[in-house]
Amino acid sequence: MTPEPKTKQLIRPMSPTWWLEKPAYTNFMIRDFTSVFIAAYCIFLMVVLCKAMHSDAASFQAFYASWGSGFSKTLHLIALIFAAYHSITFFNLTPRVIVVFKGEEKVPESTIALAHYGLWAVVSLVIIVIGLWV
Amino acid sequence: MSKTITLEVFRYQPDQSDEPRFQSYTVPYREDWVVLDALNYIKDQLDGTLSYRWSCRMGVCGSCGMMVNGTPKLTCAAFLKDYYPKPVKVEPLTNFPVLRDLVVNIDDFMHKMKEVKTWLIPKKELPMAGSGEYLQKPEELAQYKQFSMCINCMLCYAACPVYGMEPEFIGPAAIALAQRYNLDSRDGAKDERAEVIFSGEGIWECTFVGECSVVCPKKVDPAGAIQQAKVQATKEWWLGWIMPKAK
Ligand code: SF4
Ligand code: FES
Repeated sequence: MTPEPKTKQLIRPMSPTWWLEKPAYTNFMIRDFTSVFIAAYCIFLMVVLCKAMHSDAASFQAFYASWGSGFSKTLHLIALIFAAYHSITFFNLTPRVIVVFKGEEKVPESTIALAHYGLWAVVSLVIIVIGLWV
Repeated sequence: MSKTITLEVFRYQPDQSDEPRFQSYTVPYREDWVVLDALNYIKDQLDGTLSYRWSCRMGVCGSCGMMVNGTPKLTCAAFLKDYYPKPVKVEPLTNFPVLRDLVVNIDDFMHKMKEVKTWLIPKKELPMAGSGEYLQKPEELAQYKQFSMCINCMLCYAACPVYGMEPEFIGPAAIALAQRYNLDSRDGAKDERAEVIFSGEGIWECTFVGECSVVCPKKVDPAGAIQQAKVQATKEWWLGWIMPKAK
């Protein structure tokens, strides 16, 4: 517990719109809220896929066809944009979390970030190849 | 006529009024002046009742932190020329209670440093019956050097909305300083500090807004320190779970 002040002091409460006061705070809120969207999207995807897999062939076909609707395409496009935004902001931050020393010198931040981007590209490529294959 | 610049200064004089206010002062504008020079001019020439903290005038003591146009800054390093000709608004550091004018109550920060034990607790007794030295290789020094640059200016706390909302949060500098000692090859109190920094009020409160590192005048990167501690805590948790004895 912080000690009680001995003198009178002024407490300035945070304004409810604090996150609009600086672009950095606003960006943080965007990052937070879009991550909620992505989490909700993942749960939604899992639920509809599970449901479709446990239904008969005709309803699976209907479900499959519904993926091509305008609504579905828009939803997926938004999810893709948000996921890409999060991947980029995440990879840009990785050098500050993963610090590797070579003797006295730090491995340059760009090397760590680039390694992540490289891995991302490889994994994406593998998924695309598998997707085209099956 | 020589150039002038206006400072809008936050005033809170609890012996006179419970309400804070802003007071305008017009001071001479000089290219080589920092905001602290302007405040000193006010104090010496215009209004001796103005209270604020400062000491070194060279970005070392960490006592002159204030909000300059809404951003936490060391006023001894904030040049008037970066604001001229617009007025400069000077306020006490956000997220801290104000005692008087630009002076904030730093008890909470001091208390947190104590809780986290931001000092060296040697692993071993000094060699040669206390008269020897603790030796350290340059690469061991490199591990924590960045975090040891902290000057306790608290700008990072003023930039942190999490601290603003949850004052129990141990906060950026105290956690960065905990890392400074945890990563020191001579220190042996990692576990003692872990109780505080890995607690609910510690690293897990941080949502990585990242502004603490942006405003830090010494490039300590407290946000990075916190995320590194999160990785370390997660690793230790898993290790303890998979191999309870290995921890
Ligand atoms: S981490 Fe940086 S901003 Fe925070 S107290 Fe230390 S020097 Fe100041
Ligand atoms: S007066 Fe010492 S840091 Fe500014």
